[in-house]
Amino acid sequence: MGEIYTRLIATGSYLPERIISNHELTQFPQACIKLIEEKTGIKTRRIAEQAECTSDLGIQAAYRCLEKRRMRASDLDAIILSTSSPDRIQPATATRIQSTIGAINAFAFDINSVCSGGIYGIGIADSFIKSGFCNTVLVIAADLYSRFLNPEDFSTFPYFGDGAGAVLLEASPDKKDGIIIKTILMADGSGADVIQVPAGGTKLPFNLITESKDVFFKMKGKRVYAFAIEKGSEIISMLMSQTGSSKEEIKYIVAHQANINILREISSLTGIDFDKFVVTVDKYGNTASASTLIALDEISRPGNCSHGDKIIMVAFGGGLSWAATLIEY
Amino acid sequence: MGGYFNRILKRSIKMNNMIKAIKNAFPDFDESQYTGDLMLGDIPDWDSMNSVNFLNELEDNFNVDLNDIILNGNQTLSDVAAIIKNSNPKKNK
Repeated sequence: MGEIYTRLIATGSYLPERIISNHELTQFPQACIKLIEEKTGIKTRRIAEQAECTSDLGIQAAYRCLEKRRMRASDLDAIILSTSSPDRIQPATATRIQSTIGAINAFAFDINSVCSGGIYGIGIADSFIKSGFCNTVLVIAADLYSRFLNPEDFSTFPYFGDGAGAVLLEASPDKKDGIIIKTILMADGSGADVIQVPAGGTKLPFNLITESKDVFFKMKGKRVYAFAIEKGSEIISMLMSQTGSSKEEIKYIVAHQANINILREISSLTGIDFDKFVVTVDKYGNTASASTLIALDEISRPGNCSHGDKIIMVAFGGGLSWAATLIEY
Repeated sequence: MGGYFNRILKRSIKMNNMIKAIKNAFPDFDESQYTGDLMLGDIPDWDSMNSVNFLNELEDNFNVDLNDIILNGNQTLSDVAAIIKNSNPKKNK
């Protein structure tokens, strides 16, 4: 039996319709509103309706992805959902997506690597396919952070938006367009407190909460910024070195959309032109693990990549975790 | 004598309010760092986004209106105290 490759054959994304601009964040002092765009690059974000939950966003992204390939959900072997804002603590949010889209032959499970989760999902799917365990895997990343944000916290609330992205991966005997060349997954749990929702798990169950703000997402912004720049640029360089890729071969850098200034710093540290960095953070904000898959979908238009072009996807986030993957056309 | 103790008491309440505001915005702040000369940029996890949370805490703890103020890392806690002293009382929303 010859070598099996993993090929990315379709992408999809879904953003809720409701657009919220910085000036609509009236709970904050108006003198400070300009800081949002200045410090993050964010102008607007999408916010889900109260009736929508994370699986609803994932379902729409899944439909759009399958539709592009005209593939039936029943042909899927597995659904991997990356989310750190699940519908419920249990069961896995992925199972509601699986049943709703009619993926009757697929097993489905969640992974939580926070903002790195989309790329972690691609890495896991790649292993399933290359090992022969699966033929076709749908990776979805869906996050609905607006439910977990403290509306009074200026250091988190303006950053985030809701959304979902999806990629369809398939086994291929040939090295055709869209091959996953290599994925690197990294973690450092000593930074587990840097990005977190403190309450609601077994460490601090809801019945033992003394501070109401512990139910909300929080992060140490300065440390996250330094971590993202250091590890984001380091893993790109590592991936390029391990795959023998030159800067000239890189067509796009699809990085986690946390902050435009982080993207600029990574561009500067790696020496890769900022023009190659896909930017969606200005209009969608930080959509957590969904951000890389949404950004990939934005550039996945027919004819956008030609043979030999390489795309690097890179993400960094809670855990702490970071990841990168290289796709070759 | 009573005036002297009242002044000391008043100063101590203000200091407690300031420490409370800092700790609420920056939970890793070590109280032993507290001096008027401490630059805001030297508070652990200080950044421009968190500075807005600090302003909100100052408003709540001192009951003043700081709506038009923007703080930066080069200011000291004494500068902040002066801003509070010169600010208007908070209007009830």
